[in-house]
Amino acid sequence: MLLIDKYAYFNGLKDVHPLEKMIFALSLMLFSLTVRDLAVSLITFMVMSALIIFVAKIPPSYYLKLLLLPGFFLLSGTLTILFSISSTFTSIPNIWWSWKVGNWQIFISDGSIGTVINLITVVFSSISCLYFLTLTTPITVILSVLRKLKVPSLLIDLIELTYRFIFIFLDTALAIHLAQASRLGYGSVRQGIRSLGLLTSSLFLGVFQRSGQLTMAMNARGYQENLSYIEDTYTFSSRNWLIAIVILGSLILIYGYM
Amino acid sequence: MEEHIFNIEGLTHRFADGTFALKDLSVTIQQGKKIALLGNNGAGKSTLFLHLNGLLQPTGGTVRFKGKKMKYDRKALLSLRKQVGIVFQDPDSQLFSANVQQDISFGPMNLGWDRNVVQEKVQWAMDQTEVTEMKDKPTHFLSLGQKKRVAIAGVLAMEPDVWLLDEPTAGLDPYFSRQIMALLDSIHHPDKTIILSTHDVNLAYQWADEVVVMNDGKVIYQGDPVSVFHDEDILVKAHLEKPWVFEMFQALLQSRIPGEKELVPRTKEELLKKIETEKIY
Repeated sequence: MLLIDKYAYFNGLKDVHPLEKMIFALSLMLFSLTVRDLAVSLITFMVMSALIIFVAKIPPSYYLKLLLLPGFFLLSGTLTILFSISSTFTSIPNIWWSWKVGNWQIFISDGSIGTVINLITVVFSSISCLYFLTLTTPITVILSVLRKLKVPSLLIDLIELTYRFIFIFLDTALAIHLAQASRLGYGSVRQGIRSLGLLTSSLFLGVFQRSGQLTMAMNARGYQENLSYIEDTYTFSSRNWLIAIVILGSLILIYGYM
Repeated sequence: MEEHIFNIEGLTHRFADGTFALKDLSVTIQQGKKIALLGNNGAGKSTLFLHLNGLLQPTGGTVRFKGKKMKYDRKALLSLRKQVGIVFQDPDSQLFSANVQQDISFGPMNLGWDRNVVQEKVQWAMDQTEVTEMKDKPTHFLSLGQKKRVAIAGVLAMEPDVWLLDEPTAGLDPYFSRQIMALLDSIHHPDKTIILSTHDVNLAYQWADEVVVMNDGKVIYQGDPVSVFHDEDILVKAHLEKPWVFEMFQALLQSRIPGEKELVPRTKEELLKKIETEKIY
């Protein structure tokens, strides 16, 4: 079971209308991505994090772990921007740090520091927006909103089945892994590699078998062109809309003054 | 005059790898019966079910539904599946929607019912199977027993005339096994036919009107649920044991005064009553 999925179902904001959450998170993300402003990004990040931790009641340690996930990509991305190389004969203004190797110099300019800080804050602010959405809204609910917004049903059905299958495969893989481990399948590195290979191949076979069974089960219940269900009911709250508008409005104001 | 729901003649099914799951199988299913399908592992019970729902097409032979030869075009299949519901053995292969209520509503929505009707039926099915409290939970949060009940609710909400249940009580604790059987008793009606495959002879013995025994892709017995257990040949072939009530009664008959031989008790209560009133101990 994935923790991130579990929190989506059991959090402080689960009863809020999904459309409100989607519009709120996406509009803040879009705004921060378009203006690429330090203050706006920082405020967005703080507002979202506060909502996630204090209102949705997601444990801070877990949220922190999630924030570290894209850290690696961010690090590899920023390092290449931060350091520049040129020959010692070209003079560069505003050098903050440099190191000479023979005829070459590696340096960090004031400009690249600015770019990196901007990049990091924009990335974290948009990530916090996306986490706000995924940690408070289950996929199914997001899909039902997409369905109402007339997104092609083929796409939605695919997402839905993929989502369901993630868990079936996780369960199957875990069960196979357990069965292998109990018979010493992971006793040594060599055996471990062999067991992992067997696990992968049986999982692949499982995929085909599962999809065959699923097709039958869906046909048995009269599946035609698309998956249709009765939708869960949520009610719009004018208070939530007001809060969202106030937050977005003050962000725009702050940006305008700076 | 009893109506025939299914008329199967010479049904043969061969898998792509050349093995035969069903070999020249013939059987007639009458409307309104409670039928237990018994047989050893690999006898072809599940394959037969898939044929009855039009999910597989015969390699040979014919399946007739309500007297008409089964057709495999979209429209015919849809109308067949409106009337015949199947509960699969592994609920994971049946449940695919992300939450319980949605999964149960999948079938009724496909029937094209009005939304209010669907809502009503889904609620009713959830109450009957005691899954209402988990209606907003995603299906992967449930235990096996819960998934099994949700799978049954998904078919219940479609109100089929013919029920096919592939080992509905396997993996359930005694309380929920009894609940499921009680539920089947409550949906049973002269117009509804229930076919249930099981390895639990005690359950088959006390619940069924009729027992069908399969072995190696064929039907080797069809008849009342008592005389089958007198036939050692069939029992050995299909890996069946005698129900304990039946066995106990035989032992009592042998050791003491024989009572009415014709009326073999089928439940624990009947056996106890017989012991009390007829003094057969």
